[in-house]
Amino acid sequence: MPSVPYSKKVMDLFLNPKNLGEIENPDAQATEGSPACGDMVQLQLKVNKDTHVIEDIKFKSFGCASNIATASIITEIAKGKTIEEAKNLKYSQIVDELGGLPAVKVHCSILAIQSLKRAIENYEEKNGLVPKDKPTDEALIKERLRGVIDPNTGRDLVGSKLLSKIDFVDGKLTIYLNLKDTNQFANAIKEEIVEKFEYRWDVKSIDVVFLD
Amino acid sequence: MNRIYFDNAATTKVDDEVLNAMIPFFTQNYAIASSIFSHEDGLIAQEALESARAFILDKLSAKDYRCIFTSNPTESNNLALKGIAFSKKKGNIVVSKIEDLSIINTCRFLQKKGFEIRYAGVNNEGVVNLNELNNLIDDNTILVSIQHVNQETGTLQDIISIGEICKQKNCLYHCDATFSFPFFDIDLSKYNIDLLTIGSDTYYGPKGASALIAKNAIELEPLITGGYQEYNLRAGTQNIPAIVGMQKAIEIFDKKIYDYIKNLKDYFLEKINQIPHIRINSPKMSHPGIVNVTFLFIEGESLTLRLNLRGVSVITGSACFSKSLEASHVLLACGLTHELAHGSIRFSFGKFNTLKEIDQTIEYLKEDVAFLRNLSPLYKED
Repeated sequence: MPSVPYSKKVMDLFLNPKNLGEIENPDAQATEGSPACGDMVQLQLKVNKDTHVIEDIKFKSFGCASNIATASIITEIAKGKTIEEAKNLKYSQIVDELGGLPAVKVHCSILAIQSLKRAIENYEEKNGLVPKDKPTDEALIKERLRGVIDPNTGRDLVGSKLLSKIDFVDGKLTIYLNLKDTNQFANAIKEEIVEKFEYRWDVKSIDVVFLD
Repeated sequence: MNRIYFDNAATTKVDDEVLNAMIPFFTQNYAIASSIFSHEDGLIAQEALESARAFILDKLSAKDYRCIFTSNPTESNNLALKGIAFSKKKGNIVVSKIEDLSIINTCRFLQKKGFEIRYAGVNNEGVVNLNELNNLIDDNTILVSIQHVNQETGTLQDIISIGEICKQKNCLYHCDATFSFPFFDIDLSKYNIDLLTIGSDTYYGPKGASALIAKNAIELEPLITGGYQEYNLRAGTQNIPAIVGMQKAIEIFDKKIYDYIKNLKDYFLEKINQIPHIRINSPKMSHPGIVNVTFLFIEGESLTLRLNLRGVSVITGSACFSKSLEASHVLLACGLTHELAHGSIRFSFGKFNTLKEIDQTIEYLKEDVAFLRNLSPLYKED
């Protein structure tokens, strides 16, 4: 039988994923990608408060075989590492560990890395570990909004031009979207935006305004 | 391992009877078709070619039509669209949003060449909105191209009404019948169709044969120039073994095959209900062998890969190939969300499939769908 385009390691993890599931009362979590894109990863962490070592990490995944395998392997790689070590992981390490990925699937490893970084950020923000010399600015806001996908089009808020304007004054963040509040996904998009900023140390309130 | 092949809408196994009809044209009568002024060998080939042509025209009740043999339906569709466009030189073309890529991407090409392309939408079952179609056609419309049966959902269009609209509006109508012929009767003496694409390899005929049936009076620009074959519209040696096979496949296709396949589909539709949270994307009025199903909360490629490892061949409308992951344009046009389109699988049954294969596949599906849902962050057990 001709083989599928994946390495043996990818197939093993696709069929028998490691660290699958959810953690009760996780210390941090992140969900990156979106079902609209056909690619989504959820990571949850248990972190030792004193040593900042990732003691447990679990994933869930909606996506293709390489999405599942990359999410699975990143849990194995990150477990036992400090958050500082884990932050520095590169997508190429994931690809190497998996014995390679087809070129069109490399984006899955980037999504897995993104998920881990966001989960760590989530932990840092919740625990006041964010260096205060890096305040929230338009670049950071835009970068995070690129991680929010509009299910109507399957594209992110910035790329799809759904984002109309950003206001950030005295800790009050207001995001203006070119979307009607009656749109079936309006609430889901709003919730996702709030999740992206709620633990930023310098964001006091988040408002999403739907324009017509 | 005996594989279970449920991808008959992509292509079918060649029937033994078809293969036996073809073999002499590889081994004995292998000359190219040629005129009476050449040699005996060429004449035998010529006779086989012309008799296949006459047979197909007769089968479609196509008086005053040419049967232009091409290599596959993609080429036939290209010849119809580009052939008309280059002959008319300007104007607009109206197509549905759910056409095969051989139409959609040819339209994109023609758009770059200066033609205006207008897209008719479909309802949630994939049926073209006839009012909208009627409004899209104007005096500058040079061609309407709307398929008979959809490649992904099996949706059947009302080609008689579409033909009538085109007739009233005085514009040409091309119908891509690749997935419908010979499952559904097409009578060109009654339907107002100016150009018709038919294939061969989805009803137990060989690959390498297709035809564009075109009214004699219609001017077409050829895509391939060279010799004088095929009414000077398609140069190059004809694939006579494939054309002979195509004829045989049409000859032996009958209502019994249709009913057998329809029965497989009905059985599958009944059994698939054992799996919760599914959406059947194929309407009642559809191809007897095509079922498109979305398994909620999971992505199509994972499921097709798991089924593949068990020996079941199916395809998904989800293509996770790049950063912007494209879902099926057909399902999106039917109003499905990207999420639902990504979880869609096409099962297409054929005369060599059995009820037992369906039973087996349902068992595999129960396990694999449950496994992937357990993995999915979108799925919460109820």
